[in-house]
Amino acid sequence: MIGRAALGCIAMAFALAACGERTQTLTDQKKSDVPGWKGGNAAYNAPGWVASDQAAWEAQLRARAQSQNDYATPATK
Amino acid sequence: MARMKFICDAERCIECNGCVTACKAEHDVPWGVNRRRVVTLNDGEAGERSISVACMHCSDAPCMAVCPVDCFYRTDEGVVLHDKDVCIGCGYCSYACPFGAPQFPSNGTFGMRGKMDKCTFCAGGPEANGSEAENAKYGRNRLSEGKLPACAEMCSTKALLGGDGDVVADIFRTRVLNRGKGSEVWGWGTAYGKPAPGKGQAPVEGKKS
Repeated sequence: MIGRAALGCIAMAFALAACGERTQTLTDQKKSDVPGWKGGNAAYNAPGWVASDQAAWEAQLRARAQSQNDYATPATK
Repeated sequence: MARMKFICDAERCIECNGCVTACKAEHDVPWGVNRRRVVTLNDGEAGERSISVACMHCSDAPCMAVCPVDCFYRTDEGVVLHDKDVCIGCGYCSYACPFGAPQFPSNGTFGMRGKMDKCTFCAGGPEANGSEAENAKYGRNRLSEGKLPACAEMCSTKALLGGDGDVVADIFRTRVLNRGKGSEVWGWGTAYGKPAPGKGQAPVEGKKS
């Protein structure tokens, strides 16, 4: 009798397991990115700025972009 | 800082494919994937024009909108990047992108489509800046080294401009003002229409058109 009840419980547990539902909500799996101004591999850093100094990094990129400007004066180039 | 942008000056591009080569070499991009390519309009005819095209790092990027696993993100500088560990290679971004920027390596079994690959504006990916893992998945992170994208810096005629949007816009505008033409070929004139006859005044120095 007890064995039959236990068997019934196990069968019920299996049957009800199908009623369970795993969450399908899209979780934020993306890794967070470190900003470029914090620097990377220092061995390849362009001279003229210090890693972790955002203002210096932005100034460096603006100054470097002037190398694309044919009309820039030598001082700004 | 403004948003990072590319602009290609069609008056200067000579279809040398130096930008394509620089990109492939810098990031060790696999065969079959071209993050950047040169498109020529009216090829072989007088007045043909070439432009270098890659991901334009859109402000309202359609690839981000359609990605079912939300693998895209935008950096503080406006660079659109993606996480290859989240990408499932479905290809929706490829259909959504008007520039054909998303690329898929297809050298797997039965032409299986791999993780999406695209221009990163030389800003790498979500892995640690300059790390081997980042280099292997996304290529070199030049921005974190204080450099601009290799394609733009390697352009021999300086047709392809890349960097802070305000700076490259100023450079392009100065060129157009100096040569007296160009915006009607490719740029704001193409995007927003040509000025009415007699009202085609060049923008005043220092003001955005």
